Amino acid sequence: MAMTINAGCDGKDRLLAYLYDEVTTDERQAFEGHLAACAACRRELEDLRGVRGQLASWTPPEQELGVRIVRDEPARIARPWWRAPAWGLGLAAAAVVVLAAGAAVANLEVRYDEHGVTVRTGWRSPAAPDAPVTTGAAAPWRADLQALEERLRADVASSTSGASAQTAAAESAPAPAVREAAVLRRVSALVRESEERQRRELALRMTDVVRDVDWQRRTDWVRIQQGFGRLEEVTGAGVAQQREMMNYLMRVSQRNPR
Amino acid sequence: MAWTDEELVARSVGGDLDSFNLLVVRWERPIYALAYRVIGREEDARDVCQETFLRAFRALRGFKGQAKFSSWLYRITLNLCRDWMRRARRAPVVQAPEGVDLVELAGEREGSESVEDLVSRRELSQMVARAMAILPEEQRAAIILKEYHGLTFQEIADLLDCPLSTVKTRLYQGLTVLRRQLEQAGVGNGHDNQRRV
Repeated sequence: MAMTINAGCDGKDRLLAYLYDEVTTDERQAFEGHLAACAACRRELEDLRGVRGQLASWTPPEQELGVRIVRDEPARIARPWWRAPAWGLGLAAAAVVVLAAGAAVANLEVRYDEHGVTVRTGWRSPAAPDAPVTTGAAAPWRADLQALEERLRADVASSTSGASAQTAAAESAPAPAVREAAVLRRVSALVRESEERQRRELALRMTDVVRDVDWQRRTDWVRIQQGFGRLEEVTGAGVAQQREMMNYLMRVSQRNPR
Repeated sequence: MAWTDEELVARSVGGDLDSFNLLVVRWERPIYALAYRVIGREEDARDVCQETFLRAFRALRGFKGQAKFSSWLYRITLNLCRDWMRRARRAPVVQAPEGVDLVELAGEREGSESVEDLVSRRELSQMVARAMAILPEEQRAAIILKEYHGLTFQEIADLLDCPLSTVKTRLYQGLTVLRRQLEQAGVGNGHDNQRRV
């Protein structure tokens, strides 16, 4: 059956608007009043609803899409070191400076002699290279660390009490430029303290490494000595046994002259 | 509370890639469905879907919010589909399944639907796809946007750059052709199907 709209039914606009529910309440009531009186529009509406029902059966196949946008990684191009970017050389130089600074702070000394490889820092007593490493409270870095800890605690306490004072004095605060300068000074001081802490931490770690290496060297030396001793005992016993055998043979041969 | 599209767009413009990918997650299925229904091929619809989001991401700064973000995406998708069909000189195709695997079909059943009903639904789906492929591009786009994406007449008119009355004419003519095609294919009266599906 072909779909037709009666000449007196205002064309398809109202029908479509009603079909898709894009009408106001008044428009709906008016059109429903028309439908009650117009069999052609009722049939037309039913047919269109039927087509819509059939359309609902058309579903796209399930797909794992997983579309994601990612940033491009810049391509890595191999280039000779002399054509390395300036920032790369800068980083390398910075790494060297950091290592040198760490070694200087730790008063690092690397020596290779008849005792083997020796790594020392200024935190240990240089007068007793072969003395056992002491880990007692008398170590100088402990005093430094304690002093640093006390200073940090004092800073934290002062910043906590200063926060309430700053709140109270907010209305009479200095100009923004002055405040920024103060903040910058404070940040700079914090950065310096952080760097100082890192240097001391590095020195502490270096001391641990030196102590461990030294302890291992001594242990190995003792084991080697013990090994040699056992070897001497074994070989000495063998030589004595052979000598005893020779003496026995000599005595036997002298007792039975031809 | 979930971010709105507009909020996610603003954050994406500010350089937040994660926000844009949230938009992708939210809209990838509707965009894929739109592309699939327009061009009728799974793989190509997938490509169009990916390309849509890539273009949207690149052009995000040009999106001024004069339309809904979804409408903007739909417009990009339809343009890409149009390019695809012109480049390939193709009409929309209908991918017919090669044989019917009853075991696989059984997994797609909804609720108490019998296998017979499921097969009928699949066949009806194929017939609708074939009937839609016959429609002119403008009528097909209007029906897809209205039926499957719920856009208003005015939103479709804005998206397709045509008057409101033209949208209604395309819809009405498209539905009329569909009804005739489905009748010829032996689908029968629409309301019976509506009750069954």
